Amino acid sequence: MVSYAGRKILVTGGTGLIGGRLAERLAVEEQAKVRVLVRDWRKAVWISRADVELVQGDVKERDSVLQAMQGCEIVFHCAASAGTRDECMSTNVDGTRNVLQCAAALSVERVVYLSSVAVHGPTPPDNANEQDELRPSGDPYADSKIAAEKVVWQFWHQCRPPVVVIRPAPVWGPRGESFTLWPLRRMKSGRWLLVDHGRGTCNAVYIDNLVDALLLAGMKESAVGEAFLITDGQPCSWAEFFGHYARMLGIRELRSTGLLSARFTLATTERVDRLLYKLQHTPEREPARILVRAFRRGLRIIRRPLGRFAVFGSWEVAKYAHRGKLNVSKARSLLGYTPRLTLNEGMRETEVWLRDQRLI
Amino acid sequence: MLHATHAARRQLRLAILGCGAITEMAHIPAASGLDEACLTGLVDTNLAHAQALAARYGIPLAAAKLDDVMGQVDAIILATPPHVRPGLARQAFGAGLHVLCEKPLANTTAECKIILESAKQSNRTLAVAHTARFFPNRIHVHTLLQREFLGKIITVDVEQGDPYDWPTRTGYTVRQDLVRGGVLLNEGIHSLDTLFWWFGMPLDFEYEDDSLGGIESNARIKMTFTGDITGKFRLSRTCKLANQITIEGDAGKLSIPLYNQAQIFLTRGGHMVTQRLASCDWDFVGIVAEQLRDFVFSIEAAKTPRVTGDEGLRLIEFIEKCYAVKRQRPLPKRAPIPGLTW
Repeated sequence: MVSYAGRKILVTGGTGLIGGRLAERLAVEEQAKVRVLVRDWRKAVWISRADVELVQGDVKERDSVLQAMQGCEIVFHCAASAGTRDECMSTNVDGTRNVLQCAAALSVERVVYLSSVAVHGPTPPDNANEQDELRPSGDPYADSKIAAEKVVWQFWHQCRPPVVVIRPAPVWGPRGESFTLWPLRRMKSGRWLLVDHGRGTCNAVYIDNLVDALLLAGMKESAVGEAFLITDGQPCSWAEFFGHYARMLGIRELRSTGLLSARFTLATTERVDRLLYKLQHTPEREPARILVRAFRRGLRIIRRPLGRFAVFGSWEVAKYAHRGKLNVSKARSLLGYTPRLTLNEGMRETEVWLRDQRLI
Repeated sequence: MLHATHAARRQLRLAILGCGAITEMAHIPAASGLDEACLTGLVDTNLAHAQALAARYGIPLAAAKLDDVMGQVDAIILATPPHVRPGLARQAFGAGLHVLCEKPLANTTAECKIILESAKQSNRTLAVAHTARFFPNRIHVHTLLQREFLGKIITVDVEQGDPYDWPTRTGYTVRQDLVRGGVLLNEGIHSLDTLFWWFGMPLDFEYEDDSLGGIESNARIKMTFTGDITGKFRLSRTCKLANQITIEGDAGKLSIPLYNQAQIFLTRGGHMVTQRLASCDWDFVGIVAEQLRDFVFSIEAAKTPRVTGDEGLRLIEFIEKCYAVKRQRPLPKRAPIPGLTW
């Protein structure tokens, strides 16, 4: 395998969790010449610690991508949005198209695209692999990632920049928001529930294991034109996974709920929310305004206790209740990927980071 | 309060160089409300931005270069990113202008010395914007320390940290091509200035940060000051810390919040007392205005400003020593856990 040393690499999304760790490891461990596209300078305080070049730009602006990509041999496209549907579509789909167009124009050697396991929906079949269908679910982020992958494969079939697609499972570890900081915050405030008593299967990936896979994807010849699912390779239960955070916080036992009650609470909350949303826009001078206001007030009273239990949306309830592992044998065989850190080792590092940053 | 008598004199004509966040948030409102000076011009390489700000705040001149306001101003506030300050300061002093320079005075001691030498040769005033010197509670603590109110001082502990949220236009605070340091040089310098003002320069220090060949976002310094005072300073721009200075002596203890100009928490004889300095209900703009009054007064009265160029220089000298210590350590083979200092 050729080395990254001295090679010019562009990382989009380098101020975020995955792109940021990738960029710093490329610079520190691989001695690559790394350029990072920065949309918001305020978010650059993590990546600025490494010896990398920071250039201002946005994947949504083709010219800034083209400028940032000049002279780069490999591109890791990690920028993504998990915001509204419009933001997801413009950043994740149009942004990916911009990156690939620029890479084609500049004859970049390889583009590694960071997709997501979410393209397989919240409940992929047991032992699912990369061949399983991409299932739109109505979730803006997941659906935009499917659309973005279609763009990637379209470019690949036109034999333009050699691409590799990485589909990570939920990513956790230092700086992780969705599967580290958010649950911790909810646990601290007593608002975290284990769905289905935590019996669902946790197929997650520790940040440094994922970065190992990305580094392999950028170099291995056999990776080109392929998609890879990446997990820690050792599925556990969500109860075990979140139990680590509970222990760090000194919580003896996390509250849990059965699947039926989670679904019932979720459905009720969603209906109440929909009604509240409609009533919110009821004109104040409508003849029945007193009744409408009273009804709205009543709904809010019902919503309050439900909110404490309805931590999750329908995607999360389905995901946390789902049982079945993801098959990462393709990554093992074609990339040579071996998860380096176990759940316990990753959790130890995460705890060190959380304590250092005064988050627990 | 400074100097009502000066209001009657001819107002000093001021221009601000650099129209970034600090200028819009603090320098323009502070200078606009001042009787002692008149804000005459804004200068920024982004002329359209300078013109827009000038129009919004009713400032007569907007220009892209310092040359364009020469002859129309007496003094400048140098609020550009630090890498361009030495050249601009030299140009301003060469034209006979006085300079209030944003902190850090410059990126390196060599650049600071260029600025100091230019000021000296032109015999013009150079002041440095270490605004914390104008916080009433820090002035009061300085007096308490001089009076040995806490007895013999044993320790001083500073924690300064918040997730970074400065609305920088140029990104210079995180770009190592434009700035020589991170959280220590850009944010920590205020607290360091306070410590050196209260306790003098440290006799000895140990330094570590989290940089991996770039600029640091977390740092820790242990210092020993005269009188065997142990100082600890932790700072971060990735996480929230206590944001306070705590001083412990053998007769009592005090702490002040870093971002409050009036409060002091004192413990002596087992009793906790909260002092709020009543005459000091300024917001940050009020503090910046007071700093500006001091600058104007020092020009008119030919006195030394509260924070001199030499004091700006000694901070950069110390910070450079810290970075030199860090550079001697080889990079680890594996990138450490983010934020950990080493």
